[in-house]
Amino acid sequence: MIGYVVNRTLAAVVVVFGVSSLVFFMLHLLPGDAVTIMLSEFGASAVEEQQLREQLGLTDPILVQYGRFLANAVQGDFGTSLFSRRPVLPQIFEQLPKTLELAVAATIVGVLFGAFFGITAAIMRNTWWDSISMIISLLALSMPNFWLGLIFIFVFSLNLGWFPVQGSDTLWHVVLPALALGLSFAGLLARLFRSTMLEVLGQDFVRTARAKGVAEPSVINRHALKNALIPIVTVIGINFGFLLGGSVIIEIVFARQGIGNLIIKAIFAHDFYLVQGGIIVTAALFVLVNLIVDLTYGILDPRISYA
Amino acid sequence: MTTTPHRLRWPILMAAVMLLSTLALTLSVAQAQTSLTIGSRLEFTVLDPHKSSAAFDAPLFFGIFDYLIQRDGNTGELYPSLATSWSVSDDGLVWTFELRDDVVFHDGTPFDAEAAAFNFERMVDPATESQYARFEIGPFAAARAVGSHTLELEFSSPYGLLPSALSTYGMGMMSPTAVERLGDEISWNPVGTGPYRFVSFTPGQSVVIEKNPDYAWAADFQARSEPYFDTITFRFIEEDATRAAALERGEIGMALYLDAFDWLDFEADPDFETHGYDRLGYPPAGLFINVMKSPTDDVLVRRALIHATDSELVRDIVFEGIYDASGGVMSRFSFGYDAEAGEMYPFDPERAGELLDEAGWTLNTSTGFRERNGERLTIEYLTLSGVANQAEVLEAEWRRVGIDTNVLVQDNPAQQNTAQSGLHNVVWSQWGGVDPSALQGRYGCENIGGGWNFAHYCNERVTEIFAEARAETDQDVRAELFSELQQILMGDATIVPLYNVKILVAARQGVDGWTPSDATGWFGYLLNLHERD
Repeated sequence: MIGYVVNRTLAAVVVVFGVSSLVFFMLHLLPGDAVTIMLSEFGASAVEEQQLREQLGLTDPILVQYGRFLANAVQGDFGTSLFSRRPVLPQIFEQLPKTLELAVAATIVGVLFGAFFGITAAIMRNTWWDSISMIISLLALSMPNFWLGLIFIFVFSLNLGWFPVQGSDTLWHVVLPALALGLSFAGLLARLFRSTMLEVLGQDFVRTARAKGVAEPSVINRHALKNALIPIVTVIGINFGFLLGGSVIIEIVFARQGIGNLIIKAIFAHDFYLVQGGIIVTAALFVLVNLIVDLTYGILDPRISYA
Repeated sequence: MTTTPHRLRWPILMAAVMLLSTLALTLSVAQAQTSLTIGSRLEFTVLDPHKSSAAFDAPLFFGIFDYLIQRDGNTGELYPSLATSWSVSDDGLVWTFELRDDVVFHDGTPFDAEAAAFNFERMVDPATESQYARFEIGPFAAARAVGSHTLELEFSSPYGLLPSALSTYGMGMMSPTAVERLGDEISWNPVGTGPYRFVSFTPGQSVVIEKNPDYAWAADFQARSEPYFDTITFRFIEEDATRAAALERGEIGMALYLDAFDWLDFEADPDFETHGYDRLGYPPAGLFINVMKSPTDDVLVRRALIHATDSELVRDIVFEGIYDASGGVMSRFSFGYDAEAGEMYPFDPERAGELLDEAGWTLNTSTGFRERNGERLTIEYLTLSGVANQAEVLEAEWRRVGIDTNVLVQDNPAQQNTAQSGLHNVVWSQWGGVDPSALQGRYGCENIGGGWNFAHYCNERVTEIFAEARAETDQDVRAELFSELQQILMGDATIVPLYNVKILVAARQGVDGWTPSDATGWFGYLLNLHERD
């Protein structure tokens, strides 16, 4: 078990390093740089532009810049944002809790709605409810989340007045963003719950349980559901990572604090120290969540061990 | 045991009632704190005027800081503020400022000539990494306190733009004591002399400022002498629709930089009031025409292109007619605007056709496009994604005179890089500024390829005019120079003028006084914000 965790952690370091290197070089492939953005507001001269570029160390060869970045990064120094002039890591960590809050809330929305529609559809297979559930899940899966966000603001904030339009101060503020972000995930989960449940319900041990006279709710809960959970937990884990990234647009629509909002602005501004830091933290989180998912398999299914 | 004599009970009771009611009144007054939340688009990049290079940061600066000179954004006139008077030496190199002697920073330290000199030295100190402030201060050489409240600024070459430059957002006066005490932290804990004091900053969310109760040095031209609101909160709401919804629901009291359609909704709603401020443009929104690339290397084609453009249609379709027409390379209300140059090319498709015929581009009636030696008249059009819909309107307009258009849409800064490469005939652009000299960035020969000269235009006389206008202190002479500049630039047809950008603001009914602090119209003096009775 411990050996497994160490191995996975080492692999994670490699993954995060690879991701950050890829991002570093991709950012430099984009046309333009932060200096163009900084000076475009008032249009300084070409000479001033070049001076600033030298001052910020952007004229050095890309490999020199990359080496400098790595040397500082291993010492825990991810640099200073080119625009705010604040160190990168504190900027990321002060935004992270709100993104996690949103991702967790969206996961809860996804699991609750997904499980309800998926399991009931599986139990009532080939009935009108099955069809309606699957149509609803398809709709939820297909609707873009920024559009849902704007519709929710219009309906639940402006017309009904139930929820605030923007901000991230209280838990009340997370409801609409979590619904907007989590519903498509719910659509995905509903279909997954349905298919895995159907598969499990068709297996011998379920028939045996029924034959032994086990009550139907117990068949579903204790026998079928637990066995159906492994693929579902995997998808939830992977999707948690996507929700972290997918929060970008929702954070902008609802003017929430958050790392997605921070990174996307940094990308547009070519503020690459901030982008690097943000990507590394997000990638690390993604890897961590997947590691936790792997470890839960052992709890869900004792046949899986990490020798 | 003592008892209160019967005849005294009533007065005591009454006194108690009065005391209680006074207390209640005081409490209710204390509760009636006035506050305003302003929804702005982008988060402030930094709270330090000397470091900022983003106009979006500036609304805050005009609340926390004062400036030696302030501009009335409505008239464009400059007025004494922290400096009561100023003069320039005969050689134009040394400027002397007399400063107010009754001004105190938010940290209690006095504002004097030493403090002012410290600020200018800080702007040019490489450690500050200043961009905008350093750019505005021009050929600055040194700052000296020559008396307790007399400041001298020395320049390496005459700098006629200085008074105007001092009123720009980067020139705020910070407390030297606070700068030394806080070090780098000062950039996120600003200390100035302005009508509002900094309270807190929540990254990604908001900045809170509060009334400076000691403020007694408002410039004479200001509508108010003291701040009105106890607290003002800036909320960052990037999405236009969300900002509008937040105002509609009362979560914010004022929304800046609204979308034209949302703004019109608020205008029609009696619960809200709206304001629009023209942004001074150098140039206003338009298309720079590349004078080096065929077919727009021919001045006849360039002139035809402007004649073929119905900018009114663009303004009606894209901006619901809210935006005003622009004239030539400057806004019509700009200092030094030359109407003759600005209206050189009225919308006239027939005239456009004649010019193109003259240039040898004849109409092929079977295709509807003009051709010369078998080559089709094609304009390569480069634009930004946010304004790409204008290209669709223009493409249709130009099609009517036989011009074919290829549109390339990019985002900033890719668009700037592509524009620098010179592969396009027209490039959408818009710049603000406080003085027509800002046009040097757009038409200076040194800014071709690496800078922002998207017209790839270089003219000897234009270069001379920029140098003369920069050094000249006589405003009448400068106006004449800029007139000549516009005649040349428009004579050579270097831009298709489209519209003047308007800053659209809406607020809950009763909130008043968003007065532009700078002719760019992007920000106002927070001092004048108040609630009408």
